[in-house]
Amino acid sequence: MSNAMRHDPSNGLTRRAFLAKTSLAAAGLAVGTRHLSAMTLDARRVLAGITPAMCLSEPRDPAVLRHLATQAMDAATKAGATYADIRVAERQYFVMNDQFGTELEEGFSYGVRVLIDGGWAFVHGTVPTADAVVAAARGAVAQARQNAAIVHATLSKSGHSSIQPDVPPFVPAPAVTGEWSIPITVDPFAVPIQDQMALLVGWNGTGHRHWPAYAFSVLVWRRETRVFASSTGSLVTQHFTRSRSEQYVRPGRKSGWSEPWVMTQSSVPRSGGYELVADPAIYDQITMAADETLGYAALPMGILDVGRYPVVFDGAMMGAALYTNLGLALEMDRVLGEEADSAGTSLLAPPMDVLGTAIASPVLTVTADRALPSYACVKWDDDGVVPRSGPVISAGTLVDYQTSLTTAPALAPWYQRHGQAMTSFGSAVATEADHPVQVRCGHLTVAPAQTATSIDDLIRDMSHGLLIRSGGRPATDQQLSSSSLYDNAMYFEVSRGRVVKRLMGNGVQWSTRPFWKGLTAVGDATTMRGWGDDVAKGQPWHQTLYTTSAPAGHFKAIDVVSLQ
Amino acid sequence: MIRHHISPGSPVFTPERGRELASKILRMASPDANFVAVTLIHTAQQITRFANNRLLTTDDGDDLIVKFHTEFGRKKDVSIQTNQLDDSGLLAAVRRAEALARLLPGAAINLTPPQKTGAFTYIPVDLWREGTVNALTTRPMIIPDMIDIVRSAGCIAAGFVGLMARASFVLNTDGQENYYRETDCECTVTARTPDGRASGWHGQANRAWDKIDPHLIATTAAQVAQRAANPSALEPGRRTAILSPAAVVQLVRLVTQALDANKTHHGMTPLAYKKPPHSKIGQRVMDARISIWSDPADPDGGYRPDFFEGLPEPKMTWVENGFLRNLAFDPEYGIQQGNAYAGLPWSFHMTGGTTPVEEMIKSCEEGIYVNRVSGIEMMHEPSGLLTGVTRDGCFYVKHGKIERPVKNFRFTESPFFFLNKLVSLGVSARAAFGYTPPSQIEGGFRETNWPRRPIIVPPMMVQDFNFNALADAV
Repeated sequence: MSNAMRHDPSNGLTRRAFLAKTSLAAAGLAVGTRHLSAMTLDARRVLAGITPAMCLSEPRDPAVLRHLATQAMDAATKAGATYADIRVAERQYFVMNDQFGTELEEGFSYGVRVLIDGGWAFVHGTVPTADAVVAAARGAVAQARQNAAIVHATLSKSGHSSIQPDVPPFVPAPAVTGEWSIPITVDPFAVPIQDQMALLVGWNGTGHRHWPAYAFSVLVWRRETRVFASSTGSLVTQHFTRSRSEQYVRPGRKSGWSEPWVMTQSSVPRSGGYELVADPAIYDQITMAADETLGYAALPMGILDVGRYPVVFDGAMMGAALYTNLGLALEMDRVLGEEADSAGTSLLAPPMDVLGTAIASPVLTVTADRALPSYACVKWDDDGVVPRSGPVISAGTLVDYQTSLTTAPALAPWYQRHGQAMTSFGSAVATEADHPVQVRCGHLTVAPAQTATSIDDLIRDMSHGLLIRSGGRPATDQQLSSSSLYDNAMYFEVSRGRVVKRLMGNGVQWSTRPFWKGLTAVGDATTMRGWGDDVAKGQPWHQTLYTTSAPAGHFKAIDVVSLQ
Repeated sequence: MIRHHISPGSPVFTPERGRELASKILRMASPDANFVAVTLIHTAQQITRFANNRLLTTDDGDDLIVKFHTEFGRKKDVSIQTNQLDDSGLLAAVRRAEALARLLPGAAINLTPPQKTGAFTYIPVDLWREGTVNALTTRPMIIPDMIDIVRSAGCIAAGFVGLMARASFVLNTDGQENYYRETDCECTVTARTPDGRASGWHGQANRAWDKIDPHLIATTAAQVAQRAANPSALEPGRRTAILSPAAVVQLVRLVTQALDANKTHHGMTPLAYKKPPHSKIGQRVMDARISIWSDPADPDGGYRPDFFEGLPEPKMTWVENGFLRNLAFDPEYGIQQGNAYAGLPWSFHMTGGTTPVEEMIKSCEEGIYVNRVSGIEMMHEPSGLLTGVTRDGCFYVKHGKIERPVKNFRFTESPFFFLNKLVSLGVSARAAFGYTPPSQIEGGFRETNWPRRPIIVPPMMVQDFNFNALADAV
């Protein structure tokens, strides 16, 4: 089950939001993201015709954001910045479910990044005036100068006389200009709250018609206008509309942790408008999920003996494991040791030793992208680079990393060797405009089998093993070298090729390298499932959403543990 | 770099300026609202990060949030938050909130506690340190020395220096008003050996910057990394564990979630009980040497003394000499159950003892010294069972001495298990968290943002700690 994380920057919540959050957490869900302006209300009681847009401020003209951005860049350049860039953004957020009401949030923020003589500085703020952004830019320049002095002082102590010989000089992206929007048919902020509530009630009613199945749904919308400008002449405006709508079904006979939640196939975070949720096929998916969960609930329950077993992951679980083990390990700032005191390091380091080697089974091919319809979709990343789409793991061999402008040069020898231009992958992400730029992995897609291979096919030859469904995020370690999974997944015992029991009281653990080298087969396109969850990085930490599309997968061995 | 300049000479607003702004917003409210509350929170930060023996970047700025809460008639309330402070924007936000509140034909839940009228007494707290404020504006030039200490030890330095100042002001139409301000700092260093096979870590956190010793932090991290070089594998299993304060604070921080009364009464925590009152109140749940309490005025920790639009945070004793005394009831559940309410104990103080870590090691026939743990996730909430991995210094103790460094372990343990298997306790003090994003069970609460509220814990020696598997992670 995916978790969408919420950060309330105020000290405590509104009373209603607190109740909603507590109850959602009790139901195994927590919804939200960082917000600076929020309103809570009981949506069932709102008069017809009121839209989320009516409850929020009129968005600023993007020209205002561009003006602030250019003012800041002019100021930074005049103050002596070698390089500077800024992200200015206004965002609005809307989450609703039929039990706990609705929240609407909005915020404005910016972050200025400056480089002078090897010293980087970042200053952020929320005051939407030219004076404030100019002051932020000048402040960043002043701090960058101090930081350059620190860099030199550090180098002189170590006996180096030139700027960090191991760090290539920063090369900004070529200047880009333009404006781009995520294409949408229907603006979700223009759809009446009552109509959206009716949709939720309709979804849940579909689930409840299959009583004792019980359905729970949530609608989450985010829209943002983000301007990027740089001292090298870039000025781009992007308009994002993103959805995190989810539908869950479980048996309603009992409450508590023992009942299996099934998420529908459409419950994958994506970029797009209200048309994503107006798809009538979602009702069929809810019916299928209800049948599935009731089928699971009818199985006898048991516990598996501790030991090592073959295992099949469904597509959601496959995606969750892939991201946790390998996706995060591909982020170049982590690979280079820049996160050593925070999120950690990467088992896929040093890059020149690992690139071109087999890190997984030849069955595994993974591509990364920031294209539609993924949640991470952008035209330009937060360095002003147009992201690439392409393989990162090809038939088990590592062929690329996720990089930004500051981290891509570490791969220059690899690109040279293969006659490729050294370019950033376009993985620079500022989770909000007033957060520092980090490297974040794009949407990962695992190639499915080309021959017909269902989950039943994958378990057919299993004499005794496990099937694990659902996309709970595994816990991992500081180097991503091992993982464990417990309560937030569904476990089934497989005997002689058939699911025979639902397991309660077991968890699983695995070591990354042998586990992924033990991938023996993947399912076909019919087994593809999406997954998404928030992951934190940086210090102070900031979260962003990661997503995958993956087929089911059969692995040689996983360690089963007991929770009892 | 302070952007709001709301109170000249101060990184965050003063009580006078806070009252002025809150009063102005309160006056914008319509007179027929039966309850209105305004909360202002202003946070200024100064962050420095370094890695690979060089400065990475700094991250400075401030943020001022206004929360406006209004109720019309019984059970109809709306809250709105904004970070835009111009009068026209504030007035528009107030009017939108009020318009929606008036439209509501009657909200589902009344979260207004009956005793809210009249003046409340807020516990006085003293969490502001001028030395930290000075450091916020001057930025200490400590990074080159810290890096040099680690580099001279043959290791690679990464680290974090964070300073924060915060003020909050709450004002409501029932006559409650409270101003609160705090400063906080944290400094951490990770030292890694060039072969990437060993690491060490040390950190400190304090309200006062002059209580932080960056040289000691860097030196200790480097020394741990040097001693941790060339680790060997040790058979996993249940062993005596000597846990540093940094390890203990990670292992016990999720006790906060277990003290939630609503979850406990629904059988979802280790403190649940089948029979009424459906909790283990009055029963022994930990070793008799353990008491746990939360006090906004705690001199080692402390925290904001108000919550929920002006309700006072009480001092609470959760565990006393091992016996469970209280659970945390949020206001709505507290009113329903007829119980006093309090915020979840994100900050708490755990009693310690007097045994130094060196004595614990000397008294240990065979065990593992754990410098730090991370990746803490709840495995099974009804038992409090956690998983995580040791890191940054893990050592085999034999016959009263550290014999050799060992590879890291994955462990599965519950504080409700190991706090019943105590051998000895050291002196309690505030432990630095270091990088600690929210565990999945903590999803979304503001209190998981940096800096986390202080937790005061002792180092401890426990029996039969479950190091259930080797971990390749360094």
